[in-house]
Amino acid sequence: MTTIAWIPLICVTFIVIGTIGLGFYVQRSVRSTADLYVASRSVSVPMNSAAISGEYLSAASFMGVAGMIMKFGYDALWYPALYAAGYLFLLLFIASPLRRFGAYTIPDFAEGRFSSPVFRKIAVVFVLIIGLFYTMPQMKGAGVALVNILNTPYWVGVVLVGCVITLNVALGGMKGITFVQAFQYWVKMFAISLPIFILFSVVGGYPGHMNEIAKSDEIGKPLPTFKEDTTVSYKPLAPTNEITFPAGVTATFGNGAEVVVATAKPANKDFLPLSAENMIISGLPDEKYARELAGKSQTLYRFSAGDTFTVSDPLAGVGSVKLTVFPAAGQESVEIVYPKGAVVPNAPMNKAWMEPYGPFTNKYGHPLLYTYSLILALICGTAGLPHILVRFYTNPDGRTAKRTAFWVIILLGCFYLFPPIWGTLGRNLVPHLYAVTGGAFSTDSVVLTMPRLLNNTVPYLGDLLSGITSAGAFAGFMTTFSGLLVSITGALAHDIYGSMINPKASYKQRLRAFRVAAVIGGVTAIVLGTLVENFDINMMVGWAFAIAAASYFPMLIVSVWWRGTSMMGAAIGMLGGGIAALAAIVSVMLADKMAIPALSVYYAAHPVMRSLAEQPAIWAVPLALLLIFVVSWLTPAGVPKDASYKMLILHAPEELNLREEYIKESSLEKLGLRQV
Amino acid sequence: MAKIETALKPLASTREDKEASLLVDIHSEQYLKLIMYRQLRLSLALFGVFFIILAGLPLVNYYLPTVANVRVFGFTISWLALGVLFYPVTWAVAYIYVKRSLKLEHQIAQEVAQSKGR
Repeated sequence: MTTIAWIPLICVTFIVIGTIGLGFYVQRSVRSTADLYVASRSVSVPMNSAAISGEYLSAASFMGVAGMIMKFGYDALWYPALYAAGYLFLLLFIASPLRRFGAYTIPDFAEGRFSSPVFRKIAVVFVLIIGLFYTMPQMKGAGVALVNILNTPYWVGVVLVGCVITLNVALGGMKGITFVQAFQYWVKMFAISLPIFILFSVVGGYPGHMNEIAKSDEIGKPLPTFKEDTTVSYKPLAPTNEITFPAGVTATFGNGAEVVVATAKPANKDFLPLSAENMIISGLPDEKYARELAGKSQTLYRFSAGDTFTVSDPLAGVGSVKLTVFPAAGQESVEIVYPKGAVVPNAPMNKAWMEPYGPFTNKYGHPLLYTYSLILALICGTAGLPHILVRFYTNPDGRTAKRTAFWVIILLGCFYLFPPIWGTLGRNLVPHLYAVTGGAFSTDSVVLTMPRLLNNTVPYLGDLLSGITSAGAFAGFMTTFSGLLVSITGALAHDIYGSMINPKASYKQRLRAFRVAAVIGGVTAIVLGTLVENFDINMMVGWAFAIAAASYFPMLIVSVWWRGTSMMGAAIGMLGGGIAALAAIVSVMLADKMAIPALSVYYAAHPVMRSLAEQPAIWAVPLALLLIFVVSWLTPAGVPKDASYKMLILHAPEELNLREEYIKESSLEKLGLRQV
Repeated sequence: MAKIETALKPLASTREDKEASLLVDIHSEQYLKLIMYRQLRLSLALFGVFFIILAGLPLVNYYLPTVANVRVFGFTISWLALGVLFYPVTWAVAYIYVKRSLKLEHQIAQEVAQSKGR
């Protein structure tokens, strides 16, 4: 992998040029501001349902879910299932009322529902926060995929994809991306399914591979092994340079290394740490020195190039050996050569992988709590993602909106059947991906790597299919980033410029504001994207979902279904829940990066608190709801005077044409008379 | 909730009560509560299906692992349920919801139209 992968490069170039071309083509038909925001509400059902699905299926769905299922097994199945179920939840409780209300964006809704321009400003802040949080993993994915194809530095991919999408959004707006996103849904569906069917014909089907995983336990092979001699390089970045060996493995340092030897489960108080001599049973060098690492003094063993070592299983079932490797002097990375047939490090046991409550949900010993909190975050978080909700407005009427939502659920379900298949086949076919826990060559790259195996069957077939999946991955980053950028741009141009700075702006001024805002949003996202190379994709997606679940979701569901919601209640609930979830997540991040040692020690000693902070939805969502109810009861004066009428517009069928009536007699005095 | 239910009883959507609903002023508080209640009931009933799956599956996995890990075609039953069969369930629920809710909306609109016609 030192040269450029030409066939994937051509496929990716094709998809990028296709995206720009469609953007330019569509730009010619853009006429009004409404065109830019919601495509004149004239998009057809097949087009719009493919576009919504296309926008929804991000880099996380395309690469990340398959990678997580390969890495963690059953527990990660919750992600695709709940991404689909979250959309259904949105359809059942929030989508139709919001559509009937007829606002372009969530801040429009916040202001309209509570007759409060202040609330609009608070809501805009959350559009920007959630939007930017969610663009960061997309950017990271783009950078990682280009590393796999071109061997470019990480930032090149981020800047390239960022510029293409920013240009496209600035020129065509939402109408542009509706066509592009519908097209790209089919690109992604094709890219995730076709290589799988071809792989099936060569290596056998889904149940067959599942059976193989189940059977290998019975023949005494509980872990995957290397298919051939493999050299893996480790960059000195946590957690990429941490390797967990579950059982006796012999391997060789290709270019030497400095290594910290530790047990992988220090949390157990009764578990006495073993000495390095007990953990590395042969090949431990005499040369060692002490160094300060993350606030703790550690002993590093200095291995020379070509040194072979064997790791023991110190206490079967209780602990495993964790090596943290640093490059030897003058080297950029550590190369470890694993012989064919050696057990792959970092991989979970077959049984733990296939069955519930494996290494993902059970890592702090409270799997049920962790699972429920994850379920809540993903379901409620989907309903609170601003770029998904705004799409409901692109339908000509409520009837069409509902039919569209139904087709979206079909399209999403068809797509999400495939990532678990990639993960399962990946465990059997490309187990060497387990050997690195982060970065560009970990399990996250399974959809890019696995098709290349077919090169052995038909020359270039593997490269071609890998090219198709690379194009699909790019479609993933590009569509989701477009949708997010439209939301961010909408918030900046429509909510901040159009409603606060210059409400009397002419059409030309508004159009220019939209384009300037797109560039500002795009550049901000690119800059943030270049900063997050060392963060985990799923961690960032988790942030966005948890914040959305604890801020927008409670505000939306209560304002839609409870007439007595006061402005203060909704605003305080949204802010309180969102900030609490954000604080919890940031505290975990700081603890992991050892920025606050006391916090790290606290979380290590209190696994329940750690689970609650890492998956905050289970307490943050109820907290936000509680705040809304209590504050609303305390401030009955903050309930809008025309709340009943607004509720009627939210819930009365569009056939009654109440919204037009509402516009005609919108004077408050008249509405006041209607109060009971 | 019980209070709302009793308040709404005379306005329920059954055929024999239709006469009562025809006299309703669409701007009244009572009418608002009625249409909200009717739509919320539909959503909650369908959400109930999901609630049972999403709340129940982790419990089955936790307390009845021998059931969850029964092998079918190489899969565990639990994997088959969450990784494959879950999606057709979402399709069915979405289909029923869209069909029923469009019918309900049409019904509400018809009642108002008839009421105005008198």
